[in-house]
Amino acid sequence: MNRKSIIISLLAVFLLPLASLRAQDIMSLYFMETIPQLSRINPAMQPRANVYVALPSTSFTFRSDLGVRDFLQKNGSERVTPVDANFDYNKFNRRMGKSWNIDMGMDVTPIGFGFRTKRNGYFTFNISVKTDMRNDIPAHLFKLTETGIKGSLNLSTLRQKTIAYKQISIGYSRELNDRLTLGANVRPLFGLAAISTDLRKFDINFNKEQWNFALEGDVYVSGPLDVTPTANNDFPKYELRDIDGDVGIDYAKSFSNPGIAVDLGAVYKLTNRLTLSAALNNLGLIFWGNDLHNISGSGSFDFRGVEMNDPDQNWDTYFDDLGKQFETALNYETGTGKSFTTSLTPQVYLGAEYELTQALSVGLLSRSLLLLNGIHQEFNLSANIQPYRRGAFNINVTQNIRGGTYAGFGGTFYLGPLQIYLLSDFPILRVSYVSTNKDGSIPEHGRFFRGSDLENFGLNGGIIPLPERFKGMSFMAGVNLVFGKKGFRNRPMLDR
Amino acid sequence: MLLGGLLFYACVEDSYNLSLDPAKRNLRKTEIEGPIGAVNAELMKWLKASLTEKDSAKVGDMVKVFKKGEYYDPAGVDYEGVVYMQFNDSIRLDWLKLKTMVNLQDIVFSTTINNPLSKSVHEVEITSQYQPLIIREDADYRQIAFSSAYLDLVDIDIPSGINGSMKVRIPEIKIGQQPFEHQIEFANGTITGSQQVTLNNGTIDFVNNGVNIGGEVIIDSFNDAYVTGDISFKVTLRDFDVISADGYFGQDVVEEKDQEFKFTIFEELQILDGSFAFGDIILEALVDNEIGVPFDITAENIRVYNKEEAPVGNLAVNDGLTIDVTSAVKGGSNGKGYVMVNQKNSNIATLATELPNKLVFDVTGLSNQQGNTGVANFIDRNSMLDVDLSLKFPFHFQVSTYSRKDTIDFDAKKLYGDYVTQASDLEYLNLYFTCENRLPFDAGLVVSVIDSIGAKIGDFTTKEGKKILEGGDRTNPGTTVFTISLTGDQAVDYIAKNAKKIVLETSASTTKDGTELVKIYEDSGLKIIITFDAKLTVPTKFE
Repeated sequence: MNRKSIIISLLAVFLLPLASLRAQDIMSLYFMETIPQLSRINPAMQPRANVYVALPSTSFTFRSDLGVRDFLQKNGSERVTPVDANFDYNKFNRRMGKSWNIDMGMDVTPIGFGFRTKRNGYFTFNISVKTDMRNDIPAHLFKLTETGIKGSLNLSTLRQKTIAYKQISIGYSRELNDRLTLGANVRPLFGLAAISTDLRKFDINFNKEQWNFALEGDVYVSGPLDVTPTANNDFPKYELRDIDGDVGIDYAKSFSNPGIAVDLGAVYKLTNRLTLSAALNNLGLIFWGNDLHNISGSGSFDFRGVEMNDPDQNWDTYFDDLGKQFETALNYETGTGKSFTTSLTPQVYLGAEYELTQALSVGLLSRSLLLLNGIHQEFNLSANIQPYRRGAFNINVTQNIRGGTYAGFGGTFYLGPLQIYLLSDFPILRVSYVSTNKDGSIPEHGRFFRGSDLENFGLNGGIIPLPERFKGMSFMAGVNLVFGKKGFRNRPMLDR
Repeated sequence: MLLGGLLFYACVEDSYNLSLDPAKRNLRKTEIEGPIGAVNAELMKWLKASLTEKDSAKVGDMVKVFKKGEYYDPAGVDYEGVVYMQFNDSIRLDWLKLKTMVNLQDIVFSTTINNPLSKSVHEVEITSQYQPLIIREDADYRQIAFSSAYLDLVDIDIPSGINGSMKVRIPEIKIGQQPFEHQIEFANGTITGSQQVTLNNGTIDFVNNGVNIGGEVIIDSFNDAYVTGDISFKVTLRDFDVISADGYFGQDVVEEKDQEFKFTIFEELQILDGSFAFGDIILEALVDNEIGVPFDITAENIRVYNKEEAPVGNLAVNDGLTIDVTSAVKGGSNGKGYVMVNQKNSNIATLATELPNKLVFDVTGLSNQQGNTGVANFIDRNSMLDVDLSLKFPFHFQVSTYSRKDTIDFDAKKLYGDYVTQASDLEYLNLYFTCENRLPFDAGLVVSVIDSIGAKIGDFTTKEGKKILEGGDRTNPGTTVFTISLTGDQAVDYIAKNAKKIVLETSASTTKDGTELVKIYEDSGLKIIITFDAKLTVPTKFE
């Protein structure tokens, strides 16, 4: 692997999580009609501005089913870990479900625009580059610490899916009457790179006589990999291709690996003050047919311990042979022609907004992510302050049904037609200080995190700041040019 | 960076101490079960690996298998496929030991020619006289070859006043196919010519085991008109370096005292007491004879010693232990001789119960044991007589009460290391052994734990009792299942009482309590499958 490949790989490893592509939208945005980007979440929701031009914006999301606090449970005055006798595995498993899901997503939108049309319609357009990484860690893996190496483990929920794609979003919403507005975004997608696992079976059975491993699954890759076959039918060597310079630009500009996604939305004014809304987003998939690599395996292997047949047995050779038997039992095949599809994660939003005044409203929002291993459900309560001038503000609190309550905020302000916005779900507001001192002492510290506390950081006799409740973070920021920001042409906003 | 930025504005919700010391935590006990593995011990392989001899060629020579028809036990049962251990030694009789069979003595021949001067010029013959080189009445040598010998002319007395020469002739001695003769000259009382002659690479064609020495004196001239006196001289013939001989050599006795034959089977097999009784032990002697002489080789006074060098008895062979060795044929095959001693014709198997490791015996070789049969003997410098001894121990035995004790160092505190206080975190550990035994052995095991002064702290006797192996055979293996268990309380106890050693007391017998002889075959062996389950705290030392 050459230096460029190493650098690209490292960047991919470090930036991908930071890029934290948008696995789902920011809930703080949902009721912020002053920020035109809200049509991404519900295509029926029309921005207040008559016209806008979206300058480059970025958003990222990180979400995890489990946080530090799930691993350091409170038990009376002490903290217990999964290897402690008092650790509550029922609570832990409820939080996790079938698998520990970790999502990361990033969205970079270089350009977009939207405008109100005649007949109470609104048209939007934007181009984005997105990456979406999803990892599922099987819940059964934690049985190893809960019950030990005994019985059966079903690890088929192990999953890894990372996709990077370009998107052109074309959206339109229309007020059908004075109560109902419908909208849709149609998004042609063009895949850049993907890794996707499809594990249909991964069972491990432990008993005294043997440990049995059964595996059936595939790994699909579409990306710039060079494959070098090896001798003796050993596993081939995979290396990231050198794609800097013109080669990289051509790769990025390519429109191969097509896909399509659709968002559907509806808004219904139940009363003058109460508005109900719903959105079904991310119904889409990408067909990967370019630069394909796949590994498939199906088989089972029984481990009956080490066998000693010869007093002068060469153990290096024995374990090499054992490894080869395992590979042979898995019956793996590698190839370069198998196309595959990846689907986006559908999201369902159900919202209700009550306008207290023309500038102040409260909202209740339900978001359901339809994951393969279950539904991830959250409820959000927000207060939205959206006067006609200067800016708007939103504070909200989200409750995850599997445990965890988080605050969020969003804000925007104007400098003439220039609108700057910043939203964040789940910011880190609290940390715990953990001391590992052998004498049980806790170094002195302030009420708020201080720079001087950095001097005491460390595993040996220091303190470690842990954002215990942190299970995710979403962030979105960008700049728009908005025209007619008071909006609702032909329909005054007063006295509503 | 953003995360860090947000972190900088976070408030401290809670602060607490998290101990990383497993001893201070109430750790969870988890269960583990699974296979450890299997040991397939085929006797031949493991026996070869356990020998102290590591040279594979020598090991292959030491551990063997009887082929079909190769040996039958005293009851006439074929030993085909039975494993045996073999120890070899050899005795060599070479030229150095054998050349005494051809021993030529030195000759001194004196002669006087009385007053030969009555004639003016004349030639006087030295009368040929027979001189024996070999003084044996029972031998009849025909010819020898020698590499060197010496002839001296000494005490030469020749009257002065005469001139001439003197020649010594020994027709039986040929140098380069020519009969040997040597001449000296004399004149005016002075002798010229060598008086000491080296005879190189010659042969002697014997006449009655000797030679005839003669010659002549030739007087060429007189210095004086009248000379009187005798001519006398001595001839010595000595130091024959014989390189070959043929004829009839007579009967000779060659003796070698205290020949040793060492074998270490009881040490190799770690047999520590006399509970083993071999079905048979085979002592073979195979003689290869390059000499043209038949022999009777007899081993006598066969003393048996154990490894402490203590005598444990004498090997008594019915009708004695004598090997009839045939003569080699000139230009043909070597002579052979063979003898076998086993339980049928000796007390060899009985002596094995004393754990011997050495035989010491006297060897006597009698040449031409039948006397002169008319077939000529021959011998040369390269001739050898090799006696190859082998001692075979077939694995055909019975063991009534074999027991042994092995000690393994075991420091419980060191084993746990820093986790010594966590011995109680082991709730239980069970090791399950399933044995398929194709060996005709029953075995029992008691495992004890002792402290530094040898006091017993506890034991691991199996739940099923002491018997851990049930004897079987190749087609019908004996199957046993037993368990060795250790609890946390036991582990704590062993550490508290400073356990230092594990003692394995093994008792074994061949099947049916060792009352019958059993055979061990090439493919006999033992398979042990070991599985385990345990409940313990997962070690969580974070440092």
